[in-house]
Order: sequence, then C-alpha cells, then structure tokens
Amino acid sequence: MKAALAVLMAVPAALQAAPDSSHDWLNGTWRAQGDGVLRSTDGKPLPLTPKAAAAWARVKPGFLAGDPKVDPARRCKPPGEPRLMADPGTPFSAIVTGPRVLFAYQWNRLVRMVEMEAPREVIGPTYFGQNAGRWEGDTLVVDVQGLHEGVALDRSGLPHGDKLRITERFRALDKDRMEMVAQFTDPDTFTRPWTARLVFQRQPGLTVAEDICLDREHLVGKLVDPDKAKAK
Amino acid sequence: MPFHPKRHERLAALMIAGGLWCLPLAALAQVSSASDADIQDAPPQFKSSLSNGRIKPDASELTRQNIQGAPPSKDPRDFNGMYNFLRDPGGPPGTPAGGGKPGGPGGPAGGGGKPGGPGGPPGGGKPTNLGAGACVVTGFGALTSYSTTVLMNPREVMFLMEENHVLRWATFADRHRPDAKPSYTGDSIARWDGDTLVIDTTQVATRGKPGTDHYVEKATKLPDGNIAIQRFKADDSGTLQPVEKITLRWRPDLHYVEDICEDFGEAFGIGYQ
Repeated sequence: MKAALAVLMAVPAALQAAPDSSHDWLNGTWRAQGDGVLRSTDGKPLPLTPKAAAAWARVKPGFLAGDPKVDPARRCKPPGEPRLMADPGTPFSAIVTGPRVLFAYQWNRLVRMVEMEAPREVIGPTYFGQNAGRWEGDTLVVDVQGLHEGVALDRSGLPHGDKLRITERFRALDKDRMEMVAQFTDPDTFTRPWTARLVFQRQPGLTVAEDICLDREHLVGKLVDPDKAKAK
Repeated sequence: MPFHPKRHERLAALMIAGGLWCLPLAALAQVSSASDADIQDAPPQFKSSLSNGRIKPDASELTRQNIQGAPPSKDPRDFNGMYNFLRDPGGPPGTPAGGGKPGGPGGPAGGGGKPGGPGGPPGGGKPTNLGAGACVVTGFGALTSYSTTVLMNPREVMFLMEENHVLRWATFADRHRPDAKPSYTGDSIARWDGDTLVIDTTQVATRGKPGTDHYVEKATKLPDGNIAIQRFKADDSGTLQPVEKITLRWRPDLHYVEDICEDFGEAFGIGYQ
C-alpha cells in the first residue's frame, strides 16, 4: 500500500496535462509500408479530370526518376502531405499532447502540426496545410486544407488544386500497425471524392534522426542567383 | 530581377514579422519613440508596457487563435504552448537556431536591422552562402527562434522552432542513447529537479569545428507563463559554465506557422536550383 502510494505521489505533474490515455497508441515512431504511391481503395483508376491527368502525365516520369528539375523535394523543398507520411524511406514520430498532435518527420526536420480544435481561418497555402484534429473514440480524425497547390500528393507527382480537402482517419490496427484512410475532395482535380489507405509499421527503439537536406543533397554553398545564372 | 508577387509577399511578411518582433525591444528602451499606431500593431502583451500602461491589449487579441486559452496553465510542469524568446540583457550571445548570431534579439534572419554574425545574412540583404541565411544548420538549436512551440507529455518534451524548422526534443530517460551520433541538436534527456526541467544534451556538433559539446539547460516556468532558461556548457574539464539566460515569452496569441527557409531564399531572388 505504501509502495503504491509512493508511486502515485511520484507521478509527474505533467500527467495532469496529459492527453487521454486511450490515445496513447499513436505515440511513437512509424514508417509507411508500400511504395509511396497513392491508390484508390476501390481499385479503380484515380478519378482525375482530363486537365489534371495531362498534368500528371507530364511530371510523373520526372518525379519517379527523382529529377530535381521536376521534383522540388530534390531541391529540399518540403514534399508536402500526404506524400511525406506515405514515403517508406523516412520515418516519423507522432507526439500526442492534449492541445496538439505533432507528426515530426525525419526528412529535413519537417513537422505537421495538428491542432485539436475546429477548423478556423486558413493560414496558407502551406506545404502541410492547416490541420484541424479531433478524436472520435480512439480514432484521430484530421481535416486538412490550405495545401500548397505546387506540391504533389505522392512521389509520382500526383497533382492537386487549392480547393483540396483531405479528411484523414488514423486508427490502430494492432499494437504495431496503424492505418490511415484519407478521403480526397478537389473539384478542380478529381471528378469525385476518392479514398486511399496507408498502413504504417511501428518502429520500436527507433528515434527520428537529424536530417539536413541541404547536406544530404550536397547543396550547401550552392545557392543560385537567377540574375547571375541568366548573365552566364 | 523579375518581379515575383509571391516572393515579394513573403519578403514583406518576413520584414513585417521582424519589425513587429523588434519593435517592443527597441521601444522598451525608448518608450517615447513608439507612436500609438506602432503600439497598436505590436504583439498584444507588449502594449501595456510600450505605452506606459495607457493602452491595454484587447482580451480578444489575447485569445484569438489561442488554442489553450489565456492565462497559461497553473501547472508549473506544463510547458505546452507557444512562445517567443528574449535574451536577458547583459548575457553573452549564444548560437541561435540555424547558426550564426542573430541580427537582433529574436530578429529573423535578414529581417532585423543589425547585421548578422558569422554565417548570418546582412539585415535586409541577400543571405550569404553559408549559415542561417542560406538555411544551413550550423550549430546548436538553442531555443532562440522568434517563435517556439513547446509540446510536452510524460514521455518527452519537444521544442519546435519556427525559424528554419529546427526541432529539438528530449526524452524523460535516465541515460543518453549509447548509439547517439554527433548532430547539431545533439542527444537530449530530460528530468525534473523539483519544478525545474533539466535538459542534458551531449554530442552537439558545430559545423566546421571538431569535436562535440555538452550543454545543460535548466528551465523554470514563471507565474506569468514565461519560461526562464539558464544554459550551461561543459568546458574542457567537464565543468559546467554558464553561457546565457533567455526567457521564452508565453504568447497565446501566436499560432504555429510553417516557415520554410528554403523558400525564403527565393524571396531574396536566390534558391537552390
């Protein structure tokens, strides 16, 4: 009894501000399964408008080949969302607090901040958009808007417009696997809403390492001044 | 240089942000120089001091975009929230997030009036090809960004600095990871000493400097919600020497905004291409 009391007394006061323990499953380091390319859960081709399909066809080879002239991420611009989360090559950590859930990506120290409140004025567009979250039982639901239209949705360069809304639902499949089902709605790009599914594997013992993209891509000291480039 | 509206919008936003941040500091030293218009545009919690109490912040300003509500949690161990930093007067300068000395206290790269230090960009000018102005992380992310979000749960504490998206986190653990490698943010563990959060960081690398450094930071939440931080650095004998004192100011009016340094380079007409 005394021991139990001592343990209780030793519980950090920070616990008082801790989130609901039923949401604890999300904490940890995760990595996507698959190849980083989004597919519709109904097995059908993505419902792209003709214009969007043409735009995708133009950039897809360059994106898949990692051409820095085509893919801004190869110039250390943020890959954006959900592309980065879907990338099996880079892990991310989820940190759950009461007011916020943070996805911290290893890739160039980027983060996606989910604020646990109703959607409000959109500050953007930004690479990771405005993320308004809520818990529905043990499922984290995130409403994403304000995404930078110059950013691809996946590593194949899948385009989108500025009206894109994504509703993501994260839930635990078991103690080591997480599912994210995302519905994409964008009348300028898609003829109807469609849904993709991603599965993530917990990475026990793995911490997100420091990653400096400019070092990784050997870009340090290689800033280009367009005026000088034109003069050459 | 061709005119790029979006670039200039971002540059303007950067300069405005820098100006707003620097305003209270300059005006605190010479209150009479701030006009009422300047004060009205200042961050709300500075308005009273800037105007010698004549102008009070509107309650709605303090709560707008405020996810946690004002005032801050009374829990001395709950640091969750938004902050910006103020270096205590007289303290020696440290290394800001992203490297190089800052243009002014808290001034964002290139937006402040004073020239940057080594590796930092000249105020209002083009960034140099190394250092924070070029988005290159060069040294310890020392919690000195103009906007910092603290996320804390019983397992870990995270400091997310908007400037150059520097991310530091510490786990509540007894010992450092044996496999930790040198990095600019190092390997951090946290513990409570009473209500003081002690963060011990080893393996801190600095670009161009051999070896690694060991820092200890002691953070205490003040009654007004601010966080006072003392930073120490181990000397060659392993003795901790005080480096600086900073204050993270509780800023419930702020909202985390994505800051992509690699884009700001383009705002100055340059980029990685």
